Amino acid sequence: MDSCHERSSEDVRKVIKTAKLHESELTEVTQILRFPDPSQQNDNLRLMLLDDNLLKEIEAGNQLIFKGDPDENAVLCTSSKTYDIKEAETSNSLLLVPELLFAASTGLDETIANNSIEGDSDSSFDKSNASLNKSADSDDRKPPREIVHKDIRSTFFTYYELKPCKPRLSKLMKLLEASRYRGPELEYAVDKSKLYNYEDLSDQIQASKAELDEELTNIQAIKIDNYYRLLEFDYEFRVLSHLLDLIEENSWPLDKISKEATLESLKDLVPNSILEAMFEFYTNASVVEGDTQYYEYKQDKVCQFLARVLLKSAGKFNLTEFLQAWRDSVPEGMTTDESLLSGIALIDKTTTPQVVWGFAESDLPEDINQRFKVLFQTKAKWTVNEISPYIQLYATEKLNVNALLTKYARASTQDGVRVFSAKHMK
Amino acid sequence: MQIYVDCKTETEAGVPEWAIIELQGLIQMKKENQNEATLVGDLHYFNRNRHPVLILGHHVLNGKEVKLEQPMAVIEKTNDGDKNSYKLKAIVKKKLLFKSRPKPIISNISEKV
Repeated sequence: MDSCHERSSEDVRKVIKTAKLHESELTEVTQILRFPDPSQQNDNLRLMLLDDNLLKEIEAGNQLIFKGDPDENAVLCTSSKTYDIKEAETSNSLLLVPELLFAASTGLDETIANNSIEGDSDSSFDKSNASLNKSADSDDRKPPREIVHKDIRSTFFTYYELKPCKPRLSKLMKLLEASRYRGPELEYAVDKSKLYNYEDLSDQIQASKAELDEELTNIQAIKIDNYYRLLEFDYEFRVLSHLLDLIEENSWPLDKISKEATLESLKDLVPNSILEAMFEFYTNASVVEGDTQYYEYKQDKVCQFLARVLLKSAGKFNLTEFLQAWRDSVPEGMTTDESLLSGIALIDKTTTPQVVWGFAESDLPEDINQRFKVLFQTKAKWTVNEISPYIQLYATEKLNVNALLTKYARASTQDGVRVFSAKHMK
Repeated sequence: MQIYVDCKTETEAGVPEWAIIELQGLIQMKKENQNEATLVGDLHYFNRNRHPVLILGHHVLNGKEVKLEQPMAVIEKTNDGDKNSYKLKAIVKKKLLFKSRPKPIISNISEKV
């Protein structure tokens, strides 16, 4: 290797000959690779492996975002997906050459002159001329040779591997937990430093915009005065009670709830942003009459919440008594069903009397091993239906609930039913 | 914390396509050239089969054009005042892979290559 004087086609021809190659078997363009002078060298470049989706996003000119705090593993987000980042090493050298010509662009066609060659404006571009080919070489009609210089911008031994992953959303609940809304009269007590607006959450949560928005809806976060808040359980019950009382007060059929009347009636009792949000969470559009859209309450959701209210007190309840109290607590016309207790309560039908007690998924440990430990300590044997709501959050496309159970639990059959228990005996 | 990657292209031509040359081992510069570019080698292509051939110092490397299983993006880290950000520079869809053992050039050559 030598310092870089501009090499001529003659220099190149000599090297071809020395290497025992024949110029006639080569295409017309020779690219001379070189490391640029140190001032041109760039250590700021990174290589990232893309999937089809990322390639589409990049080619569309869409913004990507690296997200993560110093103590977190970084992710890369598009507007709707999240990717895990791993640094991969290669034992080979990867030389990055901007605008390197591939074979097809180096004169394989007969019409060399018409080839558009994407030459670097910085690189020297010698168009070789037939008249220059006067040398002592024995061939008297030499093919033309074009010399193009190409700089190696950087050499890589590592690159980022991007793999689609689940967004890291558990932090969201934790962040919003500290500022649960307990009613306007208790707002004075809220620690203002623990309030988060959308930009704050976007900054802190390793998820795409679409995934973050979906989770905010899932956990029923409400935008109050620009900050996202969760409602404290008792306050949510207070608001829901106001909403449901109106049904009887106005003798509304269950599928003809008036949104306007609801908001109007309660505007002095509950802040508007909360009324709107709660109405949205708990109702679906039903019929349209004239110009007016009417709504119906989501029966399952209402009944499940009211069950949670009853279960809130600690301890086990007589199942029959509980079911009766539950039936009495829901609006007339709505039906309760044991199946709605899935994920919020456990029922033991082997005892006399049969009992039920509150057992919420949200109260369980986040770590999967810890969680299975608690689950099997609480109940020795579970059917798939019983345990699913408590481990659903760990399921991915590749590892569904059944796969999780195979991995973390021991299967057996009891009375013809497949049940799961702790993998290891204590 | 968020660091943005700007993928907008300045020209209508879209994202430039660059290439990777993959070699076994490492090319090192014999002497640090402070203010000049350093020659590395000559890259040719065979007419017959489109295979690349690279003459590097005293070695001839034979390779082939390979379409990457997964394309790669080249991003450049920039520092805008106190904020870090990245800009998309190019996409790589193909590489020249030189896997076979380099053939040494055995002859007495007086010129330096």
